Amino acid sequence: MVAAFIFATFFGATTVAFVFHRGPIVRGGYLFFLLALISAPGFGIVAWHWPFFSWHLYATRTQPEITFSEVRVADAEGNEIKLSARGIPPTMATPMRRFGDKLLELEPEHAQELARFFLEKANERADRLRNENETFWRFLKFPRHQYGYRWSKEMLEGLGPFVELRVYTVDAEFSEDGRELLSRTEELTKAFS
Amino acid sequence: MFVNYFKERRRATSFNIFIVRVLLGVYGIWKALSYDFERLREWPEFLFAQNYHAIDILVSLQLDFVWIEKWIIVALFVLFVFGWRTGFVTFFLAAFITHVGALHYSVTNSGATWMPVIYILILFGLYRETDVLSVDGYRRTSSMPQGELNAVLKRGDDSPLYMGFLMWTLIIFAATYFFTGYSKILFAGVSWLEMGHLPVQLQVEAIRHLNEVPPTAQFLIDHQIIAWISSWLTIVFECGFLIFVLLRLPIWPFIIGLAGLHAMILLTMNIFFFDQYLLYLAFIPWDRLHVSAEGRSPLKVVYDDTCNFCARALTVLRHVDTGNVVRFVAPGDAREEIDRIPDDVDFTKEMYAFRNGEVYRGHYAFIEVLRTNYVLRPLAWLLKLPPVAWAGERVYDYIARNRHALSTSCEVSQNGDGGEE
Repeated sequence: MVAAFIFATFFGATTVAFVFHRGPIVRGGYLFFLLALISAPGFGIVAWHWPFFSWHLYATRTQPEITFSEVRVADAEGNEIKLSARGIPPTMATPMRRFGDKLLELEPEHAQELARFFLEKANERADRLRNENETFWRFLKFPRHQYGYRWSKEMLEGLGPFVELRVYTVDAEFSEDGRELLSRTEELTKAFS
Repeated sequence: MFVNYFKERRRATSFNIFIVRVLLGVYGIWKALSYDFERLREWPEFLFAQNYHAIDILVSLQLDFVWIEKWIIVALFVLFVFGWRTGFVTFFLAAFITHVGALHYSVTNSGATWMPVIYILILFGLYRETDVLSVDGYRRTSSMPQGELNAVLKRGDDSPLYMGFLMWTLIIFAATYFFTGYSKILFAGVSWLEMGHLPVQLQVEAIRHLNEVPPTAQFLIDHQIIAWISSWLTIVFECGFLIFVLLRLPIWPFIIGLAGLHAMILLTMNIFFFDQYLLYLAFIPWDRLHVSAEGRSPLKVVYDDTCNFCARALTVLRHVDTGNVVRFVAPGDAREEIDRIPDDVDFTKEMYAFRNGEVYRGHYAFIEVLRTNYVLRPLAWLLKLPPVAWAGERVYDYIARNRHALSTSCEVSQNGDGGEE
């Protein structure tokens, strides 16, 4: 309900400002109101809701020891591949990792529902990649916000239909200067079929 | 190279606002059409109902109508390109994008790139009266008497327009960068700038999301001094931009630096802030990309000063003439102002443009006005292409024949001085 309240209040104030936009007091007052709303989450003063954002991008110090979730899909033979976010629009690689965490935290029925959705989309994506060539039109689309890891036909060779979704917890440690990967261990934390 | 609108708050014409409106509109159409908003319906509904950002009432209904919202957004952006009812259009665009964006944000974070668009649309709506080169600009001239319209066309320069829209766009745009830099110092302190931190960050990003270290990231990991300088430059460019804006100093070093920063983010982390490159275009001095008036004879445009429709349209169109090289002339003054008018010229039939003995008629006179600005030369070239020119000539002829019927008022004198009877 907080999001609904903020949406209604903000656009209510915006309506008043638009109607009386030629009045210097209304317009000036609204502009400072808007600037304050944009600035407050930026300064870390308040939590934020759309259409406001904290703009805290990569703001914390990244530690050389990390633990994160990795989502993979496996066929009936147990052959597995890291799940690609490309087949599950509109999500991307970063939120996909967070969905890995979420699958471990959600109520069992919600986790199962989400895992089934990912499995279904993973199979659809794999079928499309195996059977269809990507069209020229994709080059006319607005550029993606995140590139990087994606499946190719070659990567899917030897893999059958996916029947299980697995969430691994990965621990990794880098040297203090980031030059070396000192260790990487992983553990299957949860599986959904 | 880029205008600090906090320093230069007034411009002779509204041309820059026109260009930003068209660019923002085309960008919005492209972005909205490319986004898979309709695919949100396929996701488990509880994700939206539980999400902190989305409006958590009637979620199912909201998701059912997302695809319609997408097409409404596209349609509103089309109207925005033409500058039709921009108050109404910008308000609803901002509200619809906010709503769909919040739903979208429940499953991915790329939608946050819509936020600057929302702010810019709201700022446009607040300063919409300064957008003259638009359908709204034409509509607003309906309250101007014919004599005043003719006087404005003859007088040429008016008092400069206040660029409040672009000034606030620049401040808010620079503020968002400032917060990204400031938050690094706020949450991580100077440790964010320590040698070795950026290489660790690149390694962590690669292992979590990319599965391999991109070559440029590997270069920075191997060359720690360059990585350390890059960290410092990141903070300098992010925080310094707003400071330079407010101190009324040149902003080009920061826009170039931030463009470089985004290129490095793409190459090292594969995250692409493409929107930013388009938004930088808002601060280019488009109005300076014109045919210089110095050393050139003016383009003299003879128009029917008894035609209210013509005068209103030209009052708007004169904002294209950022180099102030166009002179509008009433037919009654044409013989005085223009040497060697050919015998077959009939000022009662169509608009004419004269320059250095060359005569341009109707559709082509209109094209010559557009050609005074280099930004519009591609459009002028397009209008000269045979099929477009063929259609353009006919549309012009139709309008010229019916110009008095199109006029809201033709109660003017026929003596060429444009005074009201």
